[in-house]
Amino acid sequence: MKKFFVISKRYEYKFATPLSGEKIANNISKILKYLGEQLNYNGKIVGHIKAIVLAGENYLQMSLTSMPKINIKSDNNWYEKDYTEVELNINIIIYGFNKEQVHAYLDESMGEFLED
Amino acid sequence: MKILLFGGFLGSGKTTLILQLAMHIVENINEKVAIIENEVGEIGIDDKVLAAQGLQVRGLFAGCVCCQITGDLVQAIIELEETVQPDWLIIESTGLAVPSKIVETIEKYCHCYETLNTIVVVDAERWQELYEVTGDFVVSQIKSADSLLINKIDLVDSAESIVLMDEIKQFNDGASIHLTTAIEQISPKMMQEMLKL
Repeated sequence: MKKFFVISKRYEYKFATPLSGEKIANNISKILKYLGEQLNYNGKIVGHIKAIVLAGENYLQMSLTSMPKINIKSDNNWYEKDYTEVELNINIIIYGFNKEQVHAYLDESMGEFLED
Repeated sequence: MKILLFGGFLGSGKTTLILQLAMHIVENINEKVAIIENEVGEIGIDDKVLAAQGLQVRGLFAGCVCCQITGDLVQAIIELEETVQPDWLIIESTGLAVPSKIVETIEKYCHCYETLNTIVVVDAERWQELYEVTGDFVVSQIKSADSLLINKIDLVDSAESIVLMDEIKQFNDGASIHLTTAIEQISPKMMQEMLKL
């Protein structure tokens, strides 16, 4: 069990220009795919990579356990709205990698979230 | 109060199964459900998905109830029994938990339940890699089960699922074994199987 570790990070974003639910979903997908490319074993994640975006009563949850498929759950209205303020939570549990390296991958990937 | 303990590796489909089962109990059986959602990360993610469906969810975060925050689990079970009085309590353990350790804790410190059954979800798609890398750990989860649900069978071919079933059986031949695809609607028959055990 010592070879597993957990990274939980919470980010708050305010956008000058509202982002659509679809745009946010696309950007989170890019983050998860980038992390998955670095952290897979034979295309599988030995652990999980999860993200949830919260905006008031709306939510979007994405998870990756097997490359390249991302599982998505959301409330019924997520894709109908634009958002100016969201909270993003990312949770990575992974086996067999260096924790500092995974932190570095996460930091690198977060640039994708605000990409146009 | 009947307790269903769900175990199984990270990402095996526990939350997806629990969501359908809980909604089935509420909508079709008209009984009350409470859920304890344990996540090893400091921030809960799955609890928000379950709570968004109107379910009564108590989150236990930043530790595993099988080995780190056992007291929090006992306290949560007793509190829910006293305040919510559910007919069913579903406990979702973290994907890093060994369910048999949770059973030991509940049997020792909680005396407010009628039955306690353990359902362990196995990820058919990743089984080979998880077994190769974690070895005894995923096996210890399987050995804890009263019932085993081999999930994501839509992602492996039928011959592979039969081989997997035989392999899993070797680790726990006392448990009932079922093949599922939780991402789709689970059949009422499967729901009943989970509730009857």
